[in-house]
Amino acid sequence: MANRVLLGKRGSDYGLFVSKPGEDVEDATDATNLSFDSRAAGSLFVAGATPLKGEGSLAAPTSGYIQGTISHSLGYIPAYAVRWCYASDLSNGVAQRMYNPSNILMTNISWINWVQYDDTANGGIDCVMTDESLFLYNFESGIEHSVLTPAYTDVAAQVIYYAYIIFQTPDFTGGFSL
Amino acid sequence: MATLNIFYNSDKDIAWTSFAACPAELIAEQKSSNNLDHLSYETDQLLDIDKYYINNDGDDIVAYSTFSPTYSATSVDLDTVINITGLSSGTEVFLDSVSAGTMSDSTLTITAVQSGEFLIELKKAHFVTHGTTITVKRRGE
Repeated sequence: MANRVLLGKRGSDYGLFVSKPGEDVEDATDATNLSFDSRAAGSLFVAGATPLKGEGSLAAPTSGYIQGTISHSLGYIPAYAVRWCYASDLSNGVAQRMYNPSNILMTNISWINWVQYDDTANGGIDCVMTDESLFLYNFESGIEHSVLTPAYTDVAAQVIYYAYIIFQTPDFTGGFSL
Repeated sequence: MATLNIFYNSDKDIAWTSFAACPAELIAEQKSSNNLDHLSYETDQLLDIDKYYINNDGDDIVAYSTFSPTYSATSVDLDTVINITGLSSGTEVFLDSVSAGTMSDSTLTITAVQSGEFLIELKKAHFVTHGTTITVKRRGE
């Protein structure tokens, strides 16, 4: 049976480590699956003298996107986490469900009787972290049939509510939200 | 109470908000890049930003107005005339999500020429959108 709990030195680091069943916790290679690593828990402190965490909202875009900016001025790209929801997900100002950053930008072009119909369906949010700021983009402009006369909207654009945490740890995800 | 930073456009519509600290550089950048002005607002929780706008002085928020239309009927026979009163000039009327025009007075008159259910929506800047379903019965129903 593999050793699964280690308190002390593992490889070149010290801490508390617990491996997953069947994995030898003393094997310090990256391939070893750990279910707990105290180094990770210790490194994810919220950045900033005033903690860089909070909430906000982005108006419903009539087209394109609405952008919000969170300044952190850390001078490096930090790890961060963003979650978002719709107004309908809020109850007394508290989100009952939230979503990871993701978005869809879709255009469907079809031809009927030599007339071109463009249907666009845009939704969700995107995040971009730089060494100075976190940029948030609301793409939730809904579903629109823009070429029909008159144009009409199937799904209305929506306000998006967001929450974020910016950590002291430099980015290790390639710029994606945790 | 916490400070909610509100950025709004020239129509006084709120574009985005954040409880994050808002340095002067960001306020200036939002003005130069997006023509958004800034208001610091003390509040306990996030605003429902599609229900508020900024007043003319740019120093407070104002709740959207609400429509109070009166429908002469919402379930009618074919060829019946429906009067919707209590509207205001500038209200855009949508029939099943398609714009049917903008009001220049306070009364809308609709004639029921097709059976079915129809969604009438009233929209105007800084008003909460109002929707009512009209049912037009088939002959003999």
